[in-house]
Amino acid sequence: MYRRCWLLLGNRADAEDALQEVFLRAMRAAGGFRGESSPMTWLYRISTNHCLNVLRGKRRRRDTPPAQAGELPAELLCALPRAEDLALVRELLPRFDARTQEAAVAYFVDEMSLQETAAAVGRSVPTVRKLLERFVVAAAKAAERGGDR
Amino acid sequence: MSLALREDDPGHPSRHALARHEAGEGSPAERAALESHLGACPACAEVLAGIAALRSAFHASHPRGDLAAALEAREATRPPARPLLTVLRWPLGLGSATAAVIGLLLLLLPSGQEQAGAERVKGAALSLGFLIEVDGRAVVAEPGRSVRAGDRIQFLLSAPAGGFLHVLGVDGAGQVSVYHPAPGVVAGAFPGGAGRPVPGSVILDDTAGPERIFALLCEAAREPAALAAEVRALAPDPRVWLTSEALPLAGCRQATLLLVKE
Repeated sequence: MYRRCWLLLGNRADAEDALQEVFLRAMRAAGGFRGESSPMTWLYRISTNHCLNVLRGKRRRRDTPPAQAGELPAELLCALPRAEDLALVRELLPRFDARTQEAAVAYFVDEMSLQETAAAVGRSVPTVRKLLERFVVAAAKAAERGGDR
Repeated sequence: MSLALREDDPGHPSRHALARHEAGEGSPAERAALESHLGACPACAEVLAGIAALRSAFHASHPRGDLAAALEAREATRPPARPLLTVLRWPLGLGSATAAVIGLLLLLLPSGQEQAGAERVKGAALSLGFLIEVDGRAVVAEPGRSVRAGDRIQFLLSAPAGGFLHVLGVDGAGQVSVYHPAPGVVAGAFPGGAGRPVPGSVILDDTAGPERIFALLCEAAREPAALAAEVRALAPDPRVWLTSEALPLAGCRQATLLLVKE
């Protein structure tokens, strides 16, 4: 959970705050957890929702510069998606609809398979593939614009 | 940039699948199959070891006691019921004025129309709506607004007179859930008024599809578990109430709302 909050929010302070917020919300909502999904899936949903809200708020406020790779703790550096890819994901997420956001987080941050991502967002694999392809195209354009500066 | 789609590899589990396994999740059959694969695949075993190392490093840097203390301190700074309005820091002094505006909006919304997201009971004196957290702000959900798992909402009730309030839901799986009061707590008196927030917010779970919410303003307080049992006993299949505007419960005025979860 800490890893994904960090990957989604890009810096230690926000990740620590999000981690506490997610667990606090989970504690308060525990009575409503009916066991239809796994506890991990339930916690993931709460944290995705919270972190996306934080990202949207940060985009509005244009504060908190993105973390540099050197700020990441050593234990998070193992088997991570590339830092610049994550930064792109964070930048692009708020521009997309809720379904694409969920799919992108599941696929690029949680590193689910296409099948697992489709199950997580409740859509078919072909549909999820199209959502993610749009996201990748937008990422490529954003990367080009960044390279041109 | 290397952001790209990769084809699923049926011969190896995803990192997410390994993370679930490391967290102890999965059916016995799934876990046995994965253990068998890990015994024969050094690459996947290495990824799993990395995930386990991550967990150990986290526990070393975040001792359980420290995290629990931090959560307690965070919890202590909030009011017990933690309504959306307080958490989202609406300015002091505007609270009652804001609630009045919300109440006015709810009363002005068309009544007697069946709409997903916000429904008004024909001719009823009670009216139920909800706030939803969007971008860190509480907004009144407009008629037809769908919701998603993980969304945080807070119910709003307009009633000409008070009573003992109970809020419960019946979903597409036939599950009956009591949202207010909290488990083990007997309902307290809820005052009449326009657009009053029901204490506490709700984080919506994974069950997709419709959920019929009933607000019951009753002459007497009921204990949540007993109320849920009573509602389940009203019909062989509680899903019959999804299309109903009221539960056949004596002694309670009612308002209802249909949530549709994507």
